Amino acid sequence: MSYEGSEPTIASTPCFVRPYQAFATENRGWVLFLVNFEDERIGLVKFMELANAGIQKIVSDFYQLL
Amino acid sequence: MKTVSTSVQAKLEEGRENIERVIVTCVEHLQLPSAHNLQKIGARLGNVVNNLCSPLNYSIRELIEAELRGKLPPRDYKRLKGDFPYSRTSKADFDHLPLVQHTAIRRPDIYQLLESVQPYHTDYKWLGYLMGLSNQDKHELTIEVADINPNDFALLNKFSASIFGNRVI
Repeated sequence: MSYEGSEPTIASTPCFVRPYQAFATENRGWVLFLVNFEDERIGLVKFMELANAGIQKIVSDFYQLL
Repeated sequence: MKTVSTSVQAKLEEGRENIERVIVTCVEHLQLPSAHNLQKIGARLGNVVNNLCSPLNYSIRELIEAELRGKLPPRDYKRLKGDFPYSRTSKADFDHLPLVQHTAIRRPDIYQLLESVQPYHTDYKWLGYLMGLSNQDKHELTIEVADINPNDFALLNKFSASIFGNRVI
């Protein structure tokens, strides 16, 4: 039985798994990329996607006022 | 209400495309790890952060054009920088910026929006990272790879904040 939108996806590793914003690999399990910034380490993909959505929202709100 | 300019839309689109390029390069690195690939990821991340900063700066320049040009004494106008005003530390620092002071007087609604997204608010810490990384891109962005312990994996979904700092690994 399958449900719309819930069909399994088969992909060869390594691959990016968007819901988890992490990479699945065969030998190392789940892998994250981190960016060194000052004394912090930032999750690369999570940061990019958060910033992308955030900037779009700010710009859209800004132009509504302008 | 003004329409978002085409140059802003173009930069946002470029940003989205560059995010996909970063992800592709990450996969390439996992297939064939190399220092060169990590540098390439850093360079592409640099493009992403610059693409995402530009729309903010363009918006501010439009604000200056529409609301402040010709309305301020020339000396005050010259002191304005055309970059998005931000402070990573405090509201006091933010309020001290000349552009912020003029905006607060002439367009309190826009001032309120700008203040509400400042990186000293926890929800907008990412904006401070974005601005900082964009500056850092002029030198070099260092990328690391970290394995995730499966026990920590649930945290990734539950708390978005856990992706930041070193709690993930």
